[in-house]
Amino acid sequence: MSSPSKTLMGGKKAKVVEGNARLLCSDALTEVFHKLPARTLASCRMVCKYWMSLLSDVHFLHEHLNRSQQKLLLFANDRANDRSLAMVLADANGYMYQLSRPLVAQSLFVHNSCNGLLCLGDSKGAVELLNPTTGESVVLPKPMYTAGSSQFSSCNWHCLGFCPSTKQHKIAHFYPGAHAGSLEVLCEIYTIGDRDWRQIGTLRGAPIDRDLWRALFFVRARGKTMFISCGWCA
Amino acid sequence: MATREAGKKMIMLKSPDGMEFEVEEAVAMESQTIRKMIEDDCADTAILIPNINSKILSRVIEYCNKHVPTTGATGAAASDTVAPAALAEDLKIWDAEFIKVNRATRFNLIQAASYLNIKGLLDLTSQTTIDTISDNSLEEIRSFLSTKNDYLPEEEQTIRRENQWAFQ
Repeated sequence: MSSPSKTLMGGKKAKVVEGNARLLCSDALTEVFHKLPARTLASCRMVCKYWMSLLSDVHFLHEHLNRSQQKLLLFANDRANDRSLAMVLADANGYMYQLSRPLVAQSLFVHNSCNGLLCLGDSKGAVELLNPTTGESVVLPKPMYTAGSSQFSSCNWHCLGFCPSTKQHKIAHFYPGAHAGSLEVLCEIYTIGDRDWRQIGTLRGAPIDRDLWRALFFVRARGKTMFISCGWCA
Repeated sequence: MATREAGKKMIMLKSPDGMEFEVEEAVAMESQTIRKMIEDDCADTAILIPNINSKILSRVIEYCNKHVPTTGATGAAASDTVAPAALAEDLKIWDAEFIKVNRATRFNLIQAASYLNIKGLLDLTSQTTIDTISDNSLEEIRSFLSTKNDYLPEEEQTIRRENQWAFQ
């Protein structure tokens, strides 16, 4: 049972690597990666380009996030340093570590969370998407259609959701119509990976309870009804 | 006592190098992949297991044989004779003995466990690799898995900067 397969690992190691002989196929390697915490995976990206490609695969990331037992315990603006964000994470073994990173803007708050991703915003209307377990973030492009002031207000809000059919995360931005006091609420959507926002329509009626809108929102656009479910953090 | 039970369904597993293994259906169904095939009625005669040679396949079957629940039809009776804790302890010792194989075999077993979807075997065989990746330097990880660093120095700098939090 223990046949001497030393040749595989022996002196001619360089040759074996050149021959592209991978000791573990991508499926098996992926299984191993799934058992490692995000923090270890981040350093694994340094191993080689092949590992990087496996580790940045969207499906892998999604699955890892699903299986992850990592918990976000605390999320706060660092008071000592106004331009940094502090987070405390704990993994399955109860090991805790702090993640601190510079902020794009001051005074961030959480719009909402979905599938473990946080949608952050600031008072000037900038929006950033953050994966707290990998520390990766995306700053969204400036909305195209936002008229006038983009100050955060009761009828100007963002919401991160997940579209199950396309398996994409999308962010909706609702904002008031051009005429002050009108009952129109406009909506534009940004799909992660796209270059720009898409304006998708107008909702009629009073801008009712924002949280209700967030929990379940239906957007009627171009005759299609789109549904985006939102995850919540307690 | 177990052998007395008639009508035990047998399944034929074939490795790509032409070897055939006759195993009890319950043993084969330790593999979720095979279980699906059986449940979907795709396993009438023999199941060809691609990519897993007879040497590795026989070890996988050995593992499944040991780990198949011994309960059977009269489950209560079986657990009366041996205390569950002792049974678990026995399995642990057996497992430790089972993975005393060289690295190439172990990698082959990970691959087989991953393809056949046998969770216990996957956990057992991948633990060393997980420990190696968790506890060692990048250079040690590369040498363990025979991977070469193919980044340019400036690319390496960029990635290190982007993933700085992981190196704190």
